[in-house]
Amino acid sequence: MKKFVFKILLFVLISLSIYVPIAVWVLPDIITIIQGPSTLQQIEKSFQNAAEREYELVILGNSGSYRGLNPEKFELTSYNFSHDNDTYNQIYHKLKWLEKKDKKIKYLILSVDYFQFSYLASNRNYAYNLYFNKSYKNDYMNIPLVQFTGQYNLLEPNRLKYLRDVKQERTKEIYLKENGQYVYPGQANESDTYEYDINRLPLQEEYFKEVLAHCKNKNIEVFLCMPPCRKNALENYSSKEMNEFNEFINSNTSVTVHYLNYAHQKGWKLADFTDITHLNERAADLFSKQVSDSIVAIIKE
Amino acid sequence: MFFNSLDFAIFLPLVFAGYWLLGSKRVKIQNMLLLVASYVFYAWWDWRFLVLIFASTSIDYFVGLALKWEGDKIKRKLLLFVSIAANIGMLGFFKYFNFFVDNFTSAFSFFGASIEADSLDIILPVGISFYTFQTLSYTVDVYKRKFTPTSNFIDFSAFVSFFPQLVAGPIERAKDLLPQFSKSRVFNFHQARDGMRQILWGLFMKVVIADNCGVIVNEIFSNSQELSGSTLLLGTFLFSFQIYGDFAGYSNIAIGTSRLFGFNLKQNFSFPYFSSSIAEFWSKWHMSLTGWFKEYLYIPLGGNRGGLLKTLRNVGIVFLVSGFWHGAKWTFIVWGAINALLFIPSLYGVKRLKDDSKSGLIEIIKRPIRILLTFSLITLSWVFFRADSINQAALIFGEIFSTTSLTLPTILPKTVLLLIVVFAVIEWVGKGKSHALEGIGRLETPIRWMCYLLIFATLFFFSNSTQTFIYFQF
Repeated sequence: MKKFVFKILLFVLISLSIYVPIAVWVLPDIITIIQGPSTLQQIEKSFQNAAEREYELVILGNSGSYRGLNPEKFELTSYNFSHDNDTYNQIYHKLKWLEKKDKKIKYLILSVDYFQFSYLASNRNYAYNLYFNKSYKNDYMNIPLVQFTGQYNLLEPNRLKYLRDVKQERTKEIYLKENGQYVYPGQANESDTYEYDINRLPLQEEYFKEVLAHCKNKNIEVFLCMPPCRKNALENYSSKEMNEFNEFINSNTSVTVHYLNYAHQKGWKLADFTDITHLNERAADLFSKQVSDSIVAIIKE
Repeated sequence: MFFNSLDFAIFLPLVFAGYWLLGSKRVKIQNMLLLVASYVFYAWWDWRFLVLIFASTSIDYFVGLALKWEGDKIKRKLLLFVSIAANIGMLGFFKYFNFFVDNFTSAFSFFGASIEADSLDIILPVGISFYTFQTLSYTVDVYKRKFTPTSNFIDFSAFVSFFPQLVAGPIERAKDLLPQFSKSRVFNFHQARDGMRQILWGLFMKVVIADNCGVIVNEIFSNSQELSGSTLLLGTFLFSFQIYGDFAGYSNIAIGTSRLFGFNLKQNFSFPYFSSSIAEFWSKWHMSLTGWFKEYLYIPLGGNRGGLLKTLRNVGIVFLVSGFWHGAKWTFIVWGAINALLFIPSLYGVKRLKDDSKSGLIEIIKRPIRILLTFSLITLSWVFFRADSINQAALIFGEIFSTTSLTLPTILPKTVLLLIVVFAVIEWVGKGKSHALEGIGRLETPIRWMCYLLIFATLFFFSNSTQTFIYFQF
């Protein structure tokens, strides 16, 4: 029995001693080449650039703005500090982090989506934990600690299968721009569906208001921006629900807080989207120009 | 809980440690632990299924005991009837109820009479076809006084629900497995080591071969109407490896796992694709089920003792029942019928082959041709096994035997085909053993360990989306 257990452990040890160095030092780079930057790499790069670059306008929000707004198309010097799935608690901590880095921001584009208040995003805590202060964890008292322990998923053995794609020709680039925008290729289908929840968590409403209060305090002009939505996505909500949501957003506007709602804007086609929610690179550039023009017009008023 | 899941990777070492640390040399504790582990394993799918397995166990345990003491022939027959009715009744209800309802209503409609009968929303309990056959064999053996029933309920329950072979076999005969539960089991290094090798090979067959073939097979069969004969032929060829990798892989994991606990289960597959006749194939494919049908159906029907016509009838019945056992669909019944038709001439072929066995060189040349022919026929018969309906199977055959089979397949999965070649070579080298890696022990330690690591790495490197074992649905 001892001999058997010893041999099994030895096998596991040998496997790990071969696999761990590969998984930690070799695989990430190879997977980045094949799959584009990992979530951790995206976040690291995003924070690094947010600290190093100079800009007067910062974009914060979820994937709608992360993929849908190209700062190079803005007249103001801009940086996209959004990330997939970001919720308002994370956006608030990002603002506090920027403050700590002594960034002088004049304008903020804050994305709003019908579903963005409905959940508390937690799946990237292992990365955000490296940047945010201790109070960030207070909102995650019921979340397993492992989510805060760093790069635990680096050792996931199934990552080996990515190596199978090394020789495949990469026809579509997946990349993170220096300006913060993340470009992800794809083509939407007519039949795309997804279940969205329009209900607002009190915690997210609170953070949303905290963000606005912080901006008011720091004299940052805010542009609440809802990107164009596909009909399939809007089918998740009733007119009454959407009206109520927009009333809530409007109730938070002021002289320095403006609401730019493009959700129901006509003219966007299936070919402009990569999936149920996100604009493709070309459409994102068009949309960015449109948002920029609106912002400039408001500022000049 | 699937063998190729993280749940099982945690479950198995825990049960193994508890079994040998707490139960070493104490057979009662070992059996109790195995019973609890087996029920946990089964409840992982749906705890409600436990009621069925417990009912089947209880009925056969008490019927067995009653048969031991009962001398009256009529009462003994009645007891046997109770066991058969309960087991076949459960199987019939959960597996075949909707099939019969649908077919009766269709038949009445065909003759102009309309009847209304609703199908029920029945979930098929995992492995029900396997454990009902296992418990049935126990009652029949006890009835025939071939086996003395056990009075230990824990041992019997552990025998019925033994987790390594609970959901997809091998279907063990009570006389082979049950006595192993009453004997003290001591850890045997060589047995456990070979068990691990067999598990490793079983995982390779499932994860690398079956799952990778499965992805392409699903794509081809779900678009069969639009694809050429050559592509459909490729899909059928890949399915023959999917079904073998899936089921023989499962059997290897089951047998290997049992060996970790000191049990020896029957070999279920003996490199069947290297068979040189259909009869040989059926003596090497799903051997525990074939053996079961032979002992409890073919021989009671008279076997080959009543002349040619009776033999043909009995072979036909066995294959039709075997097909129906696989699933409540006409495709399985047709698959059984085709194999019966292929089997009978092959049976005579085998007899002739034995007479010609001294023909030397000619035989060396003939054998590969026979293997290829047997494999081709078996592969074609799998079309009915895999197709969703008779219509789809007919369409596929129509396309396969058309000129579109002379074109290149539209899908050419080079990596999967390469994996199949590697797999076939390893199986060929290992044939004659109980599993392909059994002979690896003869290699030098560093080379052997390199092989282990290589196979282990391929499990992750080539793993695809986890697919359930095909035989779980039977």
